[in-house]
Amino acid sequence: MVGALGAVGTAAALYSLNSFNVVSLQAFTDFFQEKQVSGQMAESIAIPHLLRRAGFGADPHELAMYQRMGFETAVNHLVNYETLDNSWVPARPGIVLSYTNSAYDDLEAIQWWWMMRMVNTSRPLEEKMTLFWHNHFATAISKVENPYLMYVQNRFLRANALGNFRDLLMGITSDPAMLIWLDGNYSSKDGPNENYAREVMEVFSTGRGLYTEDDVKAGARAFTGYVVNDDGTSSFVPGRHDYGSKTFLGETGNFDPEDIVDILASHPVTAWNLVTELFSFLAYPNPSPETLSKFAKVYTDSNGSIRSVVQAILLSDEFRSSDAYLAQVKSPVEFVATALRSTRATAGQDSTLDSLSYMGQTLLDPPTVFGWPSGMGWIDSTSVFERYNFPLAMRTSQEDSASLLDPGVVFPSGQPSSTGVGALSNTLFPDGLPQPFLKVVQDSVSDFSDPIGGTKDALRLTMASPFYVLN
Amino acid sequence: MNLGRRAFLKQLAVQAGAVPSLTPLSYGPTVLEASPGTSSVLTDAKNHTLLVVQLGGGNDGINTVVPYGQQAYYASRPTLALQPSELLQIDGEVGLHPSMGGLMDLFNSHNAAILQGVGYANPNRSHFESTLIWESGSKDESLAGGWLGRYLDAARGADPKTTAVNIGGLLPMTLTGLSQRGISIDSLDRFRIFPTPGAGTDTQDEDTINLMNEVACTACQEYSALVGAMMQAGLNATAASDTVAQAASNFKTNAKYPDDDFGNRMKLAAQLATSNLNPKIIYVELGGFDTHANQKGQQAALLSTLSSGIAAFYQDMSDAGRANDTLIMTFSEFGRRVQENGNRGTDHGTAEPVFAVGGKVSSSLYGSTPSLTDLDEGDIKYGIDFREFYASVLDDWLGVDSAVVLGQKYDKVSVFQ
Repeated sequence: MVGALGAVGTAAALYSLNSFNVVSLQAFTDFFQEKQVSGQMAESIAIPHLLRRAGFGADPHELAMYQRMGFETAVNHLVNYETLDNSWVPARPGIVLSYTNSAYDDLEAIQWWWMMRMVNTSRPLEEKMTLFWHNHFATAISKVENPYLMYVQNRFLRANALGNFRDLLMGITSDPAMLIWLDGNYSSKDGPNENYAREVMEVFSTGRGLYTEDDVKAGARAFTGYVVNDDGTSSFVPGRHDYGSKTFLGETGNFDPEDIVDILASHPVTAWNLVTELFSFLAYPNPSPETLSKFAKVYTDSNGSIRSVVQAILLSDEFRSSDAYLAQVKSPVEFVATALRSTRATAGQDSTLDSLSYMGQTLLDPPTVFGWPSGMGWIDSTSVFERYNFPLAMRTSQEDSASLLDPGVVFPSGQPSSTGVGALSNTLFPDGLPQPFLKVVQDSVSDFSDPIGGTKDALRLTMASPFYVLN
Repeated sequence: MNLGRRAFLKQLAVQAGAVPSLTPLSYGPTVLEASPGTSSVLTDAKNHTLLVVQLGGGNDGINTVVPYGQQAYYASRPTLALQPSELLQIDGEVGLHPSMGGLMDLFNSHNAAILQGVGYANPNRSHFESTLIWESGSKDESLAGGWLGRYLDAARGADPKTTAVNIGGLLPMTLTGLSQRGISIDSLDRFRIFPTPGAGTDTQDEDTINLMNEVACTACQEYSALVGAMMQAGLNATAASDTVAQAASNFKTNAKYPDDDFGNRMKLAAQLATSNLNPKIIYVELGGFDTHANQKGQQAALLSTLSSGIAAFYQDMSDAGRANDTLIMTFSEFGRRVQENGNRGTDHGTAEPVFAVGGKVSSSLYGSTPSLTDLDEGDIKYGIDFREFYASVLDDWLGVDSAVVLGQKYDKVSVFQ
């Protein structure tokens, strides 16, 4: 079979590839140019862009709702989410959780509960920022070993997702999972542990370059005194704390954890570092100093209000500039949550969590205190196979009636329809695949006679295109 | 037609993954031009395999290669010190941690080298920074990408099929070059495009995805380095998937791997090393060495799995007649503080021992044993710059010019016979 068709196939493929390449280069140019109006995104694509960054995409109904609001109202709606009814999303996982009874198996129930919140919430920014803080204060079950404590931390991060940074930093300092993760637990004046003192600066606040090894040692003394109790709460035990004088980042005093957190949260370098991270997460990586200084000022003027900074970023010209458009790679969680949310399709818990892990992102188990990679860091051969294969697990409307993956649309009257393929593709990527790419998908589906198979073909090929993988 | 197109696309994919004229991926300042490998030093370098085991978190080298002859060891390690009677003694001054029997056997059978006090000047105690330094082979970020990625850049100029594989997890920066990237394999079963139910052929969607990637590789990366990297990863992956599947079916082993994730990864490493994939570089990480508290049991378990995993991999390579083609090396981003802390653990330190195992390796201690009293801010001083060892691995084992990869010549520390 190979021998008989090989030569013909090669020649045909060569021809089609060459002609395709020429078309697609132009198609890319056209695609990006038509999305812009003098360097800014057109309103019609600014909303899908906003929903990808401030959430996990949207189904066509939800997208239309935000389109009707207009961009600025949509931002305010997303940012002031406390007023939105979210009662249909389970407030806690469907299992009984307690510290002393926390089995490792509970972890999957918690991970899935969170994934489903991202998919179903009416407050997408709340979940998006919870994910941001989970990555920023990266804590992993691999060392904490108690799913209940990971859940407690997750609830804390969600409750403060757009809160004040000083409160976040103080809360995480005494968070039981964090105390275990970075060895604050049982660090005492007799032998201060440097782990938290180093990472609270390097990763959580000022970043590298400001502090010295002496600051790490002084900070370690100031953070002594915490213990995790037998009931999973934490306490500050005065008898274990080092009340002596310390010199920390140029200031001297009998500093305790609150004092150190005050110094770090109000430090201008923290403001700069944090807005860099927030801007890169929401808009695009490597912003200019001029851009950052605007948002650092918002942070300082608002005494560290994350809500103010996030709102300012989302409403900025930079957020709607061509620099921001598709400038990121979807993390595995974003890739899966967006697919499920935009299509209202379901997929099995175990297989989805497996896929996420093989893609490189296990919720509540980041690889290190530095969190997960971003951009290029998500791209490798194992993760691309997982991204190509996951869509096969998503259910069509024949398996789950709520799903918008409707074989009846893709195969009206039993025959594949290019229009139907286009509609399905647009549900996943509302900005619209460029015509040459859409044609590849349509041509492939036209070889199918089975409506379910053909629908999954259109789904996986759209999700395999660079347009869907980018964010 | 599908099969023919598929074969053609696979051929293209191999080329696309190999041709250095693809737009280099940008990681910052570029000072190094990808250039063809120079004349190889060892005539059989083309059959050589290098397995790198990264000990993530900073391994306590002082309790790994234990300087038990120094009184300061017992003074600074009140709860963590190992007694001479427990140690696997190398000489009257140093001994191996008792759970490293596998490595001790390799040392005794003249297949393991121990480099002591490996580090660099002005050590950085940040996990992130020091990992970056070891992975890039550069102290000042003047060299972009990882040292083995730049090796790939150079080696693929001479042999486009040069393969580097990371086992498990996302591709580490080490295997990322300026234009070339290694592949990453976690599970043999999952390393392929599953056929879509109802497709005309089993490979219909693989063909279509390859088609989209080929298009994107040549056109779209002009718009986005992200797209270029994504599509190259897809093409490299599908090009390798058949070979990888064969590796899964042909492998048999008599070696005893530890029954844990690391053991499984080392076994997969042996499976791929002895397959037609014939990777030049294999990369495996063992994490968990950041032992700030209650170190003793944790480190013992980690060193045990490390040692038996290396021994099992080496046995499989020996059984396949490949002992003389095999070099295994370890590294960690740093060692740990001489003085233990108040939590029966150790904080971040500096220089550390590096192990090298292989049929052509000469068993010995290399470099002098670090002093536990002549310290720099509480940490031992390094004796061997890690790049002096990298240089030997590149020149003498991998057969590329180390100066091309490392940006300059170093005095080599060679462990080969």
